[in-house]
Amino acid sequence: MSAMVAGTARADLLLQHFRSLADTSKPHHALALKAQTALHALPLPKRKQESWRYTPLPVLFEQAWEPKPAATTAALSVQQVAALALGDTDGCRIVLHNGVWLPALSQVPSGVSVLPLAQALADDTVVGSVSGPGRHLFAALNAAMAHDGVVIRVAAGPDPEQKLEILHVNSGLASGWLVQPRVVLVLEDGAQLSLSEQYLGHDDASAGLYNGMTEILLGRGARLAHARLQNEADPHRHLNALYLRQQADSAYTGTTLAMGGLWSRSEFHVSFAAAGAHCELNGFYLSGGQQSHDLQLDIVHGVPGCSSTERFKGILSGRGRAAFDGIILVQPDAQKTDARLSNDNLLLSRQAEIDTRPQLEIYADDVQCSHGTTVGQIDAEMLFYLRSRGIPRDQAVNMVCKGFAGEILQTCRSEVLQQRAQALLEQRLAGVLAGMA
Amino acid sequence: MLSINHLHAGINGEEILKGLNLEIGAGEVHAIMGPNGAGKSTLSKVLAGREEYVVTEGSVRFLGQDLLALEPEERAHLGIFMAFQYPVELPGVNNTYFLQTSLNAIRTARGEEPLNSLNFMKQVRSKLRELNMDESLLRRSVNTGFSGGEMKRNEILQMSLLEPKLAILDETDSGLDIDALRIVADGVNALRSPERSMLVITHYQRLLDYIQPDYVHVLSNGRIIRSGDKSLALELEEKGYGWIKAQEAAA
Amino acid sequence: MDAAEKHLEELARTGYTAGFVTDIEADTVPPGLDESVIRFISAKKKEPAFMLEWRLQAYHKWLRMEVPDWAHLNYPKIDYQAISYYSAPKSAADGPKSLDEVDPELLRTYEKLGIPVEEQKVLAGVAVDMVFDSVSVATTFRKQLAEAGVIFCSISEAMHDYPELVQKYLGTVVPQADNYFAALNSAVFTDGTFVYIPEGVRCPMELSTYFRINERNTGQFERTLIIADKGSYVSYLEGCTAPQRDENQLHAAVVELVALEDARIKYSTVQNWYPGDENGKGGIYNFVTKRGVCQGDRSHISWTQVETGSAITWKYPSCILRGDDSVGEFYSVAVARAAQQADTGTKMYHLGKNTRSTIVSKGISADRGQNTYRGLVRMNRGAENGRNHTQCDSLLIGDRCGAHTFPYIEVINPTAKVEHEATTSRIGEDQLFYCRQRGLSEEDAVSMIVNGFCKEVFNELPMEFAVEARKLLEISLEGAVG
Repeated sequence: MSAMVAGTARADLLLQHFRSLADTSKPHHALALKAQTALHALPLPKRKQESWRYTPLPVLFEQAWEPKPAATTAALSVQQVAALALGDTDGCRIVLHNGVWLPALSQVPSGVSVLPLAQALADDTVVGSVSGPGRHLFAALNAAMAHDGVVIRVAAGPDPEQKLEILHVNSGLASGWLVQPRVVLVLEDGAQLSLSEQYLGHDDASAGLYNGMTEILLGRGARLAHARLQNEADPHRHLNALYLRQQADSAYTGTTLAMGGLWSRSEFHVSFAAAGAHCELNGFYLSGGQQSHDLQLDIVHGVPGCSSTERFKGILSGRGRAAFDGIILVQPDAQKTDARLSNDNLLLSRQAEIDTRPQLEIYADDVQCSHGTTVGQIDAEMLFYLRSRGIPRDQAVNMVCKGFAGEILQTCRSEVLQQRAQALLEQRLAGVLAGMA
Repeated sequence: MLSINHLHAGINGEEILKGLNLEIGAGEVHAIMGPNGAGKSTLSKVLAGREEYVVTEGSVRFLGQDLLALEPEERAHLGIFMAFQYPVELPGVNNTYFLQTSLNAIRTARGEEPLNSLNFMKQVRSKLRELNMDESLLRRSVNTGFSGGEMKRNEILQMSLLEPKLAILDETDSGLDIDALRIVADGVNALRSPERSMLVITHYQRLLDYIQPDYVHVLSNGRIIRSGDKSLALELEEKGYGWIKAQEAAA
Repeated sequence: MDAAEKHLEELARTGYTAGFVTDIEADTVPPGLDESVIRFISAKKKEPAFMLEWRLQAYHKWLRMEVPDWAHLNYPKIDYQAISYYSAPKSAADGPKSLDEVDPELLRTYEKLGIPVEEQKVLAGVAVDMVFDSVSVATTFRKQLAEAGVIFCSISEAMHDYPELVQKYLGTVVPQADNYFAALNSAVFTDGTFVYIPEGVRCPMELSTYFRINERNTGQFERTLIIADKGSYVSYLEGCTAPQRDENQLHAAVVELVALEDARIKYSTVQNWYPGDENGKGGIYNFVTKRGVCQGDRSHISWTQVETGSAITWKYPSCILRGDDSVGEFYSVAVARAAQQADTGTKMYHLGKNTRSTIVSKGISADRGQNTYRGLVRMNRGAENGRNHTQCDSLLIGDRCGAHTFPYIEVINPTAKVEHEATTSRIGEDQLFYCRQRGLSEEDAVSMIVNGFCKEVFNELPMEFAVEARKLLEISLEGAVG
């Protein structure tokens, strides 16, 4: 009982802490003001709330995260950036170090404009237009303290192969840090972009919470290919909410790879403004050691004639945990919706845990909707087949895992990112197999 | 080469092979026929080392070694190849990568140098040509979305690459139309050599029109009850399994 | 000592509980719920002391509980103090005097279902003499059951005649405080069914509440307890296809099943309570807690339900697969049309080794009906080689209805394998056209397609039940298309 009381008291303190953080951040813009009000009405996430039901919360609540001043010695060097960057974008990149945009290390392609978020907030209503003030405490906290980050606008241009990468590097801060950038990406009507993002911890040893927000607006006929690799450092917590709003005939193809950090939660909020839009979300998560990854999908088909495909796969080893919670909501009149979701999981260890919850909520009849989920270990038939061809057990396990993950990895538009993820997977699997032997 | 002695084996506590004896010499092609449930598939799985099948009695020696003591991959390294009745789909595992890994594992075990990608591709392409197969097969995931015929041909391709000493064809004819059957049989025949033995397991005589066996055995109720030459298969085709079972019962 | 003697002795022992003040001569209690009402019910039913104690415990737990709000259901708040928790079985005088006084709409449905006039009277609550087929049939059956050693009686009788069995198992599967409605039921249940199948006995017939039609007025808080001892088998049928009217809007039944080693329980339900008018007004709120425990190794529990009635359905027949190699099954057809809302599904808790479960759920939504499948599959640490396969299909008829699928899958054993699939479809224009081009009426075509959609579930029902269920479904969906 006393532990419970202590727990409740601690939760209250944390809630107070986050609210006062927002209160003292002196907002000057409408979004922050709205978010502050929202923040005071929102509870601390708890298991009883359906969307946090399977999220391991103690790791998120371990410290009262707060912004920390950056040590000057921790600044990123040109060489470091060159090493971390994918380098397949003709040098076009945006570097955010601890959420702060570093223009000196960035280069913007023609037809693309970048504004610091703080500046955009003053006179641009686009910020927060998709995400709103936030549905849960951490989303509202990001909005209430909105300052760091960038607003990127891409105009329709002659080059359909326009490429850009964003490097999010979190490092060099004192333990307990909180970084809360927001990236707003607007593709004007007919614009096209291939965007790669990496969230990197860069071997950082201090515990902290990255609480980021991504807002993407796709204009009519715009096309975005989006590959993301989350490879934060071991003690990092990573929370990112991606809000996507698609106009008519636009197409989004995204791949999110959650591999690093101690704890991560990736949210995807997708909505359609007009018919003919297509959204494809692919995701892969790899949880080992004490890691947990949480994937939240909230796909709203609110207008007729749009389609979406969501394909997520996970491999769990050690004491790794993962939660997958994906809802497809088809609102009344959203006829001719085509939405398909799948979630497949491989368990490699006795201590791993997976909780998965694919959901369909459908209010229109002329729709094609389905979801499917599987959980299991590696199929014995597969292993036997490989071994009967002379391939040793470990290698066979490795092959099956890589094949399993490969179906998602290969959807990355950036080949360099794909190779990086592949190498990372390889390295992690080798560790797992060594542990199993 | 292969010597099976008084083999008893089963699965889930049920005995399926009940004292099976079989000798296969180098370069010989043996056919095993039998009704459903006779133990044909069990025999092939026991030989390949499927863990669910438990051997309770008897021995299997292959090239002088105790085969039953070996892991499935070690058996493959020794030169045992089983063409699966139902080849397994490996989603996301590229066929080329799979073939190369498999071949190099076996080459390494034989004390040969592993092939680099260039040489491997050369070899695989020549095999494809020999077997009259399409190269697109290589770019796909192993058996994933393959038609029945494609799967069986993929098995034959593997066999031809891995150059086994003993090839076990487990009901390779099941589910194949006559054209596919001929292609598979041609592939198998092309691989016949004085050093390579084959064990062809089938329910129907049909396949044996294309792959001429040296010996035919009839498996029933977990034991070989009749052995003979090719004419036994024809006789079986004509009179059905009932005939042989009746003879057995009478004896 | 025979049962009757035992009964008398029990009466003598528990007739007056110390401190008891309520007038037990009354036939009803005024609306409202407090301790005295529970004491009244217990005394009225002349229950053994342990039962009163048990009910009071449940009541106190209930007081501290909250109404669950997670279901995908929308209904006005229920005033639990406005409900009367006890009324004696209706006397002939209360009901309609003849079929002429019964709602012609209801009679039309009876006719379509082919229910004999005498049975129609019973169903509609018309006073009938006890010279009624089912009753004499029931008597014959009882004799046969007694010979097999099967106990099949009301739970009130069981409390007197087999108190040790009741005390041993009641509330072990659905604990008093399991959920809000189960706690309420535990405090105030008035009657229900008790079944015990002795070791090794295969129950010689399908047990059905239908045969106890004269006892069916067990009211809104029904309690069922079925125990299948080692190696036994029983098939139990609940409900009947004829629409049942009840003035009690709230129904909160509890069903507990216990299957010991190698035992098998097959529990089939056809639920057709009054769904209310076009706007759901007057329809039954059906909040049911059904759970079975596969206690012994190789035990097997199978739930099959056809849910076409009620304004609100809140129901998750579940299995706790404790014994190694035990099997749980859930087959469901749920229809929601007009203003009906159904939130139903199952929970499969895999605890033992090699436990297997199968879930097949078919939801049909029409008009403004809202149909939700909600199901949990949990593979616990010890559920070595556990297997689950779930198939949830929704059929939408019309563009104002809703079909929702909310599965929860939790796995902490790597050797377990779970597969879940869900699809949503509607009756396609081309399907209808095809059928009509071949000469079928639109209604027949719809009924054919719907029946095909539900086939896997109907196949699980006992034969004559399946035929009735098919007919019921047809009638339920009459006029839904076009």
